[in-house]
Order: sequence, then structure tokens, then C-alpha cells
Amino acid sequence: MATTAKYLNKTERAACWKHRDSYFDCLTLNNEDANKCVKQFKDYEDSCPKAWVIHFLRKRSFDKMKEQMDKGFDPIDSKTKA
Amino acid sequence: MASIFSCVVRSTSTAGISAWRTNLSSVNRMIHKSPVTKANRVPCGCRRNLSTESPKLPQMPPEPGEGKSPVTWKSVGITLGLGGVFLAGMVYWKSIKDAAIEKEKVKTIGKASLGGEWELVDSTGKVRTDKDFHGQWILLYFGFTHCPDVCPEELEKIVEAVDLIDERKDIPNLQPIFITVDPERDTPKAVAEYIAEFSPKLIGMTGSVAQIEKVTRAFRVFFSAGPKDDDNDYIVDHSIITYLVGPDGYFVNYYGQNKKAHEIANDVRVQMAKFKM
Repeated sequence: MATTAKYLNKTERAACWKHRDSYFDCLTLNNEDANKCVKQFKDYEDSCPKAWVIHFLRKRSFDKMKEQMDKGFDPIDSKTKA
Repeated sequence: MASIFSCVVRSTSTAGISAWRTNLSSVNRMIHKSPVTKANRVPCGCRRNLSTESPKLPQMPPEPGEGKSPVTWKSVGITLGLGGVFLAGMVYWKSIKDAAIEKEKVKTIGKASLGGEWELVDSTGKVRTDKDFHGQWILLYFGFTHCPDVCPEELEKIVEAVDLIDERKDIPNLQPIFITVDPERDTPKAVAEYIAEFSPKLIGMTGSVAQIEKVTRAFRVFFSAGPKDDDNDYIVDHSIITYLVGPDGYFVNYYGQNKKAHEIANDVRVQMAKFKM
């Protein structure tokens, strides 16, 4: 089955991860304001397959949520209270 | 006067048996006439005392309750106490033993049901089966070449563990094997390109969907291809486990993402030593 999905070798993978980390660091520094990290996001998007971009973003939000829950935050509670 | 004794008095006369018989009958008369009481009960072998003094009765053993006895409330208490401690010890020791047996049972059942027969195609296009690897220790990882980050990390770790084991000349070498859970995209050529960048020792396998299903079932590997995006790209969700397979082709132990390379190598050494026993 034909796919236009890009296959990344070791060097390309390393480059993708580097840009991903730059983008995420920028977000963390700027209180999740994506508008401040447009350049980093572009580099990230260019070096990683789309599926990976989404995958890493989802993983980051999931890890953040887990962190908050460890501190006692209950997402269900907050939703019903709102 | 006739003394009343309840024992048979042996005659020492020289008159012989007839004299003895006479004595016996007279004693019999005496026995039947007078009841035996505590007062006149004496052990046999006594000598008839012909004096009128009442003989001194030898000491009888004391009745229970009288005087000093080995059995007292204190001794009973101590015995019960010791018995209780002993019983508690037995129960505790037994429970530990039972737990160990249970653990072994589970371990043995777990061991028997993972692994077994499989047939795949390696990165050169050659057909390989589990039998090709009997006699070798294997470190097995299931992944796919389009994996974003986990598979490369795990494979680097596996290669490091393998090198640590292979350094030691006194133990068997470890064979690392990568098996794809994405047979659709991972052709032998794709697998060859992928594994080359980790180690020349690494063997990569792929196969038909049916062959991959068979081997993943044998090792209870979970895998599920995600939705395809515009580029027909997708991520395969899968369990992240490294399997240690023994020379008989069966599962020995597993290592999760949290285990570091040296921890894996240490455990492999232990398992190799245990297997010999």
C-alpha cells in the first residue's frame, strides 16, 4: 500500500527531536502561548512527519495532565463544576 | 497370733511341696476370711514376722495431689506457651512456603505460555523460524520503522545490553531481534535500512500479516494501527516490552521501558546461570 509518509533515518529522527524540544521549551517559557513560538513550530513541523507532530503534542498534553493529577487535580470535578 | 498377709508366703521348710501346699491352703483361708485393705497391703516377698508387733509398712508412692508433683499449673502454662509459639512458627513457615510454591506455579505457567513456534522473513528476504534460534539466548523487541521515539530508544538500549553481555567471554552471546508490528509498510528492505543504523548484530524480521499475527499472539504482544492521516501515515500503538527468550525458544523474562541497559544485562546473566541448573 503506497504511502507518502516520510521515513526518517537516524540523523533525521535526531533533527526532528531537537526541533520538537526547542518548540516545547519555548511553549513552557512563554506560558503555553503558541503565538510567541511560531518560528520554532515551523522548524518542528518541517523536520517531523505530520503524524509525529500530532503524536508528540498529544503526548505532551497527556504528560502535563498526569502531572496535574498527581498534584490532586481531578479533570472530571473541574468540568462538572464549570 | 495369725498375721494376715495377702501374699503367698514361701515356705522354707524341708518338708517339700506338701508342706507348701498346706501353707497355701491356710493362706487361702486367711485371704477369703479377711478383706485386703490399704493398711495391710504389702508387696510380696515379705517375710512373715512372727512377733506381735505390727510390721512397718514400706512407703507407698504418694497419690496425685499430695506433696510435690512435676505437674503444676505453672508447668502446664509453660508447656502451652511453648506449644503455642511452636505452632505459630509452623503456621508462619508454612505460609511462606505456600507463597513460594504459588509464585513458582505462576512463574512456570507464565513461562510455558509465551513463545513457541513462529515463521518470519528476515531483512535479506530469507525465511526464518524459531528453530533457527534454538540454543541461543535472544533479546526480542516488537516495534515498527515509522515509530516516533520509543522504538529507537528501546533498540539503542537493547544493543547496549547485548554488548555488555557479549563482552563477557564466560557466558553465551545474546542475539537481539527486532520484529515489526507493521507488516504493511515494513518490507524486508525497509527493515534492513532501519536496523542497520543500530548494530550489525541486530536481526530484523517481517512477514505476512498472518505470520506477524502468529508471532505476536505467541508473545501476547498488543498492537493496533492508528487512523491514517492525509499522507496515509499512521502510528502503531503497541506494548513496549523487551523479551528475553531462552535456548528452548520460550520466554524467560521481560523488561519494561523503565529498565536501563545495565539492569537488563545483569538480569540476563542471572537467568543464564539459573537456566543451567
